[in-house]
Amino acid sequence: MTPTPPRFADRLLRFFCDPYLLEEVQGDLHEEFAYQVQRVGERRARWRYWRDVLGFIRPLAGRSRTGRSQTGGSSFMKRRQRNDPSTFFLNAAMIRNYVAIALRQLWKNQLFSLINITGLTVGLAVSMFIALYVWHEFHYDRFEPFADRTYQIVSVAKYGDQEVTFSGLHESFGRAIQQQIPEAEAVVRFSAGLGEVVLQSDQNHRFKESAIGFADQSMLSVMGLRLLHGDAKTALSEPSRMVLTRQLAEKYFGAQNPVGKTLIFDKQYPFTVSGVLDDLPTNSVIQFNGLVSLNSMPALGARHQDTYQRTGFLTTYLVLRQGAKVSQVEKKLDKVKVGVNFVDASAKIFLEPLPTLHLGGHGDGARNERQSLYILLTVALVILVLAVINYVSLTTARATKRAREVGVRKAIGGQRSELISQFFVESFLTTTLAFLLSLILLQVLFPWANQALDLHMDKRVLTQGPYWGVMIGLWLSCSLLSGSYPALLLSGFRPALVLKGNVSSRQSGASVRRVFTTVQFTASIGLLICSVVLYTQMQFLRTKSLGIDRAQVVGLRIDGDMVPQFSGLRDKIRQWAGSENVAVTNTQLFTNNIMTYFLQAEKTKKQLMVNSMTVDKPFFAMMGIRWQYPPMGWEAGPVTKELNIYNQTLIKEAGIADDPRQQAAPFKNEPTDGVVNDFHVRSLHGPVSPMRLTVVSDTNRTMLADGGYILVRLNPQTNVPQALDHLKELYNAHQPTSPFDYYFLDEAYNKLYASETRLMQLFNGFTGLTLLVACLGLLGLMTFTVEVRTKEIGVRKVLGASVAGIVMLLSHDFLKLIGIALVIASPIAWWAMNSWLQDFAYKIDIEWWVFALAGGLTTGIALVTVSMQSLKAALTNPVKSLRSE
Amino acid sequence: MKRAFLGEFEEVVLLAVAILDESAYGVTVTQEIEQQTGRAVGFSTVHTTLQRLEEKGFLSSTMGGATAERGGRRKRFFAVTAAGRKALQEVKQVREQLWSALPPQTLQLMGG
Repeated sequence: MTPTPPRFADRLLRFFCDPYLLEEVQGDLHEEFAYQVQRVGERRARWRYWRDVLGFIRPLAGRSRTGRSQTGGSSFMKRRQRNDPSTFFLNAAMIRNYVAIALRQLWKNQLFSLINITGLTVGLAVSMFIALYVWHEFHYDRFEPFADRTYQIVSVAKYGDQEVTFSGLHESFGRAIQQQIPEAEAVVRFSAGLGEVVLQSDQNHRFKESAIGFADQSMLSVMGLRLLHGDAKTALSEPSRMVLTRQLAEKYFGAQNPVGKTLIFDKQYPFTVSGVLDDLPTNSVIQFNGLVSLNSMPALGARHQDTYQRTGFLTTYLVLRQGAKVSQVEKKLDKVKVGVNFVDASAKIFLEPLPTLHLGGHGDGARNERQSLYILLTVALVILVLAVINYVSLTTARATKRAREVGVRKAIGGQRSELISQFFVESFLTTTLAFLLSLILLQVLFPWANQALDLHMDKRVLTQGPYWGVMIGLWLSCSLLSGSYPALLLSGFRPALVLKGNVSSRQSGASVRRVFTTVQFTASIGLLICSVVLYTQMQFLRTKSLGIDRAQVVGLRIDGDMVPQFSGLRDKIRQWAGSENVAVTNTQLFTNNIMTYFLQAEKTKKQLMVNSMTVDKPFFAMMGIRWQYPPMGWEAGPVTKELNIYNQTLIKEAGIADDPRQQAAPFKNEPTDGVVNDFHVRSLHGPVSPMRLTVVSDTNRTMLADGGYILVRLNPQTNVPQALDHLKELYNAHQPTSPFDYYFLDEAYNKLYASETRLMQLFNGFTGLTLLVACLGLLGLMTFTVEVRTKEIGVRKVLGASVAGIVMLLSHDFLKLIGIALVIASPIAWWAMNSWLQDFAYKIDIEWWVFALAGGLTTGIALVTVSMQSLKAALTNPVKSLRSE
Repeated sequence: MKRAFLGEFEEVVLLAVAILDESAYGVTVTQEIEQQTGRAVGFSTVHTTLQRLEEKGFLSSTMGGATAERGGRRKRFFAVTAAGRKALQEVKQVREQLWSALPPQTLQLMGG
């Protein structure tokens, strides 16, 4: 069979080619094809055929010439109407004309252009930034080579009516999987480390580092982590090997290649650096600063050994073979579990796909995260829509000015489609300008915004193809949206009426503009209300009495191996600060790492989640914790034996009434020595948990076995940096084994609300931006109204109208719209914020003044915007406006 | 229309049509140019140029001659008109005039 040219290309040719020319062109193409098939083979001939056909499509080549026929000309394109010599509407010359006119318009109305472009730029930049952020959040962990079949193993156990998810598993679990489950292609065990650890390369490079993790050697290849130096296969295969991130490697070894060098881990264990990792992608749940081979862990001292042998601390990932069924593997895992130590037998095992870990997963945190992403996306969309609305309403408002142009164009034979394309070209030009400006803005502000908002984002996202697809989509749809209404409205003018001057500016699209203004202010007021509520709630959380006094308290970290020096150091600090201002505890307050036990209450048989901490005697007085029932002989002298102190909530949950000191112990063998009033050591998202405080004597050393904190309350008048310097001196004088480390209680408390604070900052920014955009729009509209009504105002003034009267006349229309906006926005904002507040156990009521404030503020700002123009109009001498006609 | 100006490519196409005499149409013209000048030319470019030359009055065309490999479609044969011949003559004359005005030492330098 003789090969035929590509069918589709032929059809394409038939579609666009002038039928008059089709026969010869197609004939030539077929003949050439037959020749090329013999010369270079069918495949390449087909390629050539396509290339030739596409060569004939030249939408912009159609220059009108009088040719051998009316339909001729040197273009091969079909004409829309045969025998009509008019130009094709996407004609090069006409497009040049459109662009020229558009540029002239932009230049002539500089204020309007400025407002339009500023509004669009801000809108686009903000929505691009948010799109970037949301994109980043939704594209976690897609880069791993086996991302689609990598799963994390989690166990979900029930305690009472509480579901608790554990991601930490014992090290034997991973080994058992490898032996017992054939579907597992690879197993990776990873832990982000057990808190901070000291690393040292030489005398001058000795720092405390966090997130020095442990991992199997399969980690590097399975997770697709790229090594700058070293060999991924062997980097973690043997004990005493360590991989550093680039940042850490530079910190200790500068620019030189550190592979083969030695780093001392935790003061005494030498490690060989076996690799340097490229910066980790920020869109991954796996984050660490350095990695130690997991099999070296048992040799790293008692604490590590104990953790390794007796706890579930390893996040375990599983790569399934192609085609393996998740549910079957889960069932098998349930069986594996039985043979392994330290796994709760009642817990159910689940496999969570790696890419969904960040935003999916068990637990509420992820749901909230997702929700706030959607909120952000909505806000970004709102800002963009507002900016587009600005463009539309300003363009239509100026319709009268353009009406004459439209009339003339139509009168000399312009088609409606041509006018539509003209206005599209204009909007396209404006949005393109704004798009380019916003790209520049984004580039400039990216590092700043990233830091200010505490978003750990990667600039690498900016280079990804799909992201640019989204951006270009945004830009094109923005051009189309902002161009379509003006194009349809303006091109619909009837030339006869327009040229007679019968189109009133106040008719054309006035009601649409009113709707637009209302929408803009609804959004602004709504966001303003949200901001105010967010702010008051945060203020409430910051100032709420916690039952514990956190002001001016600094906590010094004492390492476990500093127990011998501890008493001396404490006494020195007591001498300096006054013994009533110093207390000791084993727990870092206001963090989520507070020891929690599950205990069964003797009386009610309820499982209780009990927060537990060890403190010394001065802790209570110094931290301002109130007693409900102090232990017997509390005031009399020092504590000699361990005391069990419970909080009110625990006593209530345990079902104990009256004086608990006289009654049966809430838990087995742990009688009540005293009861304190409730106080918070965690965020106010939840109520106070049941709590047990163990009070130990001054001389007791078990408290610091795992390290602890000396809390020092500084005098309100103290110069804080000086005080810290002094504390550091005292600390360094006691042969410390690790660098000076401290935290402030109130800072730690505020950090608990980091995500809320971030949300608040974002909202404040957005509110400002929407108000800006809305006011820009208002300013534009007002300027225009004044321009159109100059004569009217002149006549009114001549007839005796007062300045105030004219300002009122010009402003009251807009004020009415703001009133409507307030009525629409209030219930929506109330509903949204009310559901947000449900996440807090302690929350404010949304009161009427919030709405009044938002309404008042918006009205005020709008009035200022409007009055600039209206006052100018009202104050103009009427002679000026009436003289020229 | 302005005085017909002959572009460089137009000149080449016009010459190719003149060389091919009776059998000049899209495919042959394209192949002729490729063979003689060694430069790859697009089909659409040749077609456009042929049309433009016809508009300018340098070429005339007639339909005719279908073959099987064209699926029975007719060809458009082109022939050089009197105006076309004159234009070619003019171009040649201008070239020769310019060449002859070249000082002999320059000609030597150019390896002529």
